Amino acid sequence: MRRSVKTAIMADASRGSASAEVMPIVTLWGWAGTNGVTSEGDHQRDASNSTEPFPSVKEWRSGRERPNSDRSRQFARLLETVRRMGDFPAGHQLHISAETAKSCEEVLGLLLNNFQVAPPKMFPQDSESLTFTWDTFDIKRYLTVDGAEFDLLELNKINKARFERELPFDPHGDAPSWLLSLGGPPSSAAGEATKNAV
Amino acid sequence: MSGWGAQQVQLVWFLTDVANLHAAELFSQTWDGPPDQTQANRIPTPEAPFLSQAGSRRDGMAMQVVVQPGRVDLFVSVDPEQEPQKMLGSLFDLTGALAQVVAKLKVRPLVDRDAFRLAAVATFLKPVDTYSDAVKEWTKFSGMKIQAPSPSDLVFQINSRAALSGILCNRLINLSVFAIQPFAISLPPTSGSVASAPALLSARRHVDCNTVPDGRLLESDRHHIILSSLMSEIVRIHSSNSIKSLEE
Repeated sequence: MRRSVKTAIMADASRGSASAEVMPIVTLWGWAGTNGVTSEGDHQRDASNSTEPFPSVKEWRSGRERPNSDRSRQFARLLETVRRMGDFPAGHQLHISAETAKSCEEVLGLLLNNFQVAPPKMFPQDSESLTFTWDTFDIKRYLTVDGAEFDLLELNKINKARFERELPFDPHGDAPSWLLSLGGPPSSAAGEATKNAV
Repeated sequence: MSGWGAQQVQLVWFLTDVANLHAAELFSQTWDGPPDQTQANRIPTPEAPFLSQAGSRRDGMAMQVVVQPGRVDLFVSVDPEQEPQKMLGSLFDLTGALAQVVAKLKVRPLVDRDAFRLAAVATFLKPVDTYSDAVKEWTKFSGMKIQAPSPSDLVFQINSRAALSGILCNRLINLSVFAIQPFAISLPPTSGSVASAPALLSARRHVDCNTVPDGRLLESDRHHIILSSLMSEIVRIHSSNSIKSLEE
C-alpha cells in the first residue's frame, strides 16, 4: 500500500524543516550529520544554504574520494542505521519492514558508489517506511521508501508549493531517470572499497 | 617500461543488489582454493563498512575480495605487510598478475547479475632517489615543465572520457609522489628516541578506467569483455608514458 508522505510533511512544512524528525536517529547512534556536511579542510557548511546545483561539497568533485572520507563514513552510518531499523520489532517507533530496509540499502548503495550526491538525512515514517531528505537550493526533497514503492515530494521552502509523485524502481532493471537526476553528477572515479573507514 | 611496476590492480562490479554474494565464495571461484582470512558483518558500520571480505597472502602478493552495499571489489596487490624495501621490490607486471583472473572471468562471470557500472583501476610505482626525480617522471608523462625550485606536494589529475567496447568510459589519471617513512622503535624503549631512515620515494601513477553510469545495466555475460577493454586501456595509457595517450 502506498503511503502518503503528505501528512507527515505538512506538519514540517509549517516549520520549513524536517530536522526535528531527524533527532531520534541522531541521538540514538550519535550520527554526525547535523545541519550540513563537513568536508575535509573546509568548515561545516549548511546544506540548506548551498549554492551548488546538487547537494555536494568540493571534496566529492575532486574525482578520487578517500575510503574514509566524511561522505563515505556518513553513508556507512546510514547503511548501518537502515539495517538496525530493520531489526527492530514491529511496533517499535523506529521499525521499518525488511523489504523497505532492502530497498533503502539498494538506493543508498547506488547513490554512494556511482554519483556525487551528498548523504541524505532520514527519518522513519508510518512504522514501516523510511524517508530520505535533501536540500537543493530552495527545494527540499523527500524520498519515501515503503517496501518496493517510492514516492518523491518536492517542497519549495519559500512559497511552500508541493509536487508529489510515485516513482518506478526495479532493482533488476535499468535505473530510472528520477534516480539519475536525484544522484546528480556521476562519479568519474571507481573509488577505493571502503574496507576500513577508521 | 623501465623501473615501473604495478602496486595494486582492482576490478569493481557496481551492483544494485549484493544479496547472497559472499566474499569467500567469490575468492574461491577466482583463485581455486579457499581464502586464508575471511570476515563477515551482518550489519556494516563505518569502522567495518563491508558485508564480507576474504583474502590470502602468497609470495609477496595479496589477493582480496570485498563485498559491500552497492559493490564487489577484487584486489591483487603487493603484500602491504612486507618491509618497505621488499614491498617496492615486489612490484609486479599487471598483465601477468591478472592473467588467471581474466581467464576465470571468461569461463564464468564472477557475479551472477547485471551490473550498474564496471571499473578497472591500477596503481603503478617507480622507485626514485629524490623528489626531483619523481617530478621528472611527472614532466615526462605530462609534457609540462616545472621551473619552481624545490617542488613538493605535487598532485596532478585529469579525466578524459572515451568510448571503449561501445560504452562511454571515464579515464581518470592521477600523478603524485608516494613516500614510505620507515621508523625503528626499540622495545623496550631505551633512550626514548625513535630512529628514522630516509623516506623511500616513488613516482606514482594511478589510472582508473570505469564506465560512465547512465542507468543502463551491463549484462553479466559481457562483464569480462568490458573489463578486458578497461584493463587494455590502462596498459595502453601506462605504456605510452604520455598524457597524449588520452587523445586517442
